[in-house]
Amino acid sequence: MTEIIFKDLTKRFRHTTALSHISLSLGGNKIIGLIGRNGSGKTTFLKTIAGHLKASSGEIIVNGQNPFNNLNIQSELCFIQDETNYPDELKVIELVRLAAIYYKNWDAELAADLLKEFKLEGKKNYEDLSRGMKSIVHVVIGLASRAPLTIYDEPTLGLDAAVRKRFYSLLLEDYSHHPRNIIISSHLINEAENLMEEVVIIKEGRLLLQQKIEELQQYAVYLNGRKEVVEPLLEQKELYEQKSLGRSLIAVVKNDLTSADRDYIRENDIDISSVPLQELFIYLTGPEGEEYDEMA
Amino acid sequence: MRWLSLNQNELRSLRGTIYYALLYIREIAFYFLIIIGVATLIGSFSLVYMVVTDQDLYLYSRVLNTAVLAALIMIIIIGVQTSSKKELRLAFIFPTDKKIYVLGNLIGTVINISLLLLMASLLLIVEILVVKVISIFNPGLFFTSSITPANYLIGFWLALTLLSVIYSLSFCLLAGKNKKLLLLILVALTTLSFSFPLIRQGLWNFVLFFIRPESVLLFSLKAWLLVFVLNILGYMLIKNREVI
Repeated sequence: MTEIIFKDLTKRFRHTTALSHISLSLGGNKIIGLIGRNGSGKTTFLKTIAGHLKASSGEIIVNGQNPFNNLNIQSELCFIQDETNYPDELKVIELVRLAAIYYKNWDAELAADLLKEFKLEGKKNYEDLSRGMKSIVHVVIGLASRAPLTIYDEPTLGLDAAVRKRFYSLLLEDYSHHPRNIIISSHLINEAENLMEEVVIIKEGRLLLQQKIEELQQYAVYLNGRKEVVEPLLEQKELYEQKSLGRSLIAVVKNDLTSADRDYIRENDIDISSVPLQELFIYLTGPEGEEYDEMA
Repeated sequence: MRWLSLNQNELRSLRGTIYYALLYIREIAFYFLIIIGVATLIGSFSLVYMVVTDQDLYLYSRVLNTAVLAALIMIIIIGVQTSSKKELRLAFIFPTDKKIYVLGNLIGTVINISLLLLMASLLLIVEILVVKVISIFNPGLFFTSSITPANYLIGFWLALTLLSVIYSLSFCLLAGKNKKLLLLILVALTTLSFSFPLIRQGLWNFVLFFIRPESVLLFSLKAWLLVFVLNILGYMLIKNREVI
């Protein structure tokens, strides 16, 4: 079981602050989703866990140790990066052999089965593979590594819908037999929603929230009703979006409704439903002020 | 001594790093053979010309010299690559650390150099056979090769040692983050050695300490010591470097 602790960690690259004062704890055998827009600091966050980057200030501790240039931590970890590029001149089979040497829990049978299932030719050079096929190689290595901490940074880039679906089901199946800590960063939250047990959202290098998936699924609600009855309800609520449709108003608010609010909703015939995660992500990570724009 | 002892994680990572370095031999051998091939082709033209014009000629074996020169170029490139950002990023796709990275690359490169020199030795046999065939048509051809099994082994060892020093030097020199500072130091040293005979003499004595012709054993001891010192220095320079 892996334990990751960020203590007020900040990471700067010259004049850019990629991560700012991150404090959180990720532990247990769980599948954790890391969500954030492009440039939000997701990759820096993952690279810091993987020990590729040093904190500019603050601290990161993985299993009680600083992961930077630490083989004890590296040996328990498989990091599949979105921009991972294995050496071009190597054949797929050589990459698999190489991975078998490096990872102590390597499952050769699983790797062979997956290569066969995805019709990956072992003799093909890595550089000759399409973007999607390269992603499949990464997926195969990540799954077969059986590393106690497996990190996937945008693992499904370039994969078609059918392969993405198969990847998620393989991941879940393998995880159920071999529980471990898996961190996945992805833009396709709706697809990965059923996998994740916990979600971490990063916005502009800051930790926006860390919650269990079931809590996040109830994080915000749509309120749909007549404008004159919905509007009073929006006062003192965290409003993400509102949209007028004739005499109706649809609003997206944070789900911190009191029992009095719920009674009001029932009495005034206002429809209430939960906000899908993908949309919630857009509301939460959108530029400041955007949430309150009138869309009509 | 902790530095020298390796645990299971380090051993596994070292095996991976060496295997990774050895997988490069195909690419290295490809360019190596092109360089030697071109040199041999140029040499062959002179032989053909000699046969056609029925000239008498003394011909010296040149394959080994060409091979060492070609290997030297390849090894400098490998040394420079080892310290590059890209190579570091590629290596850290798999679980490793800087110590294993440096050690694994050194071992892998020494094995690769040995393979290149063995390849050159095979080419020497080819060269001798070609000359023998040509000399049937041109009895005036005198081929001189002073290579005996004993001096071949010594030559092989010395070439391996020298090339390992060159690899380590190029890796160490470029391992530092600040390449501009390195250039500045090199320019300053060159300028100073031209301006002040004492500095020039000191630098030359330093170089002579390693390359002065003496016993093979002493030369090897000093050269391999230099290899280890340069690699440790290189390690210290990349130890805190981030993998970006």
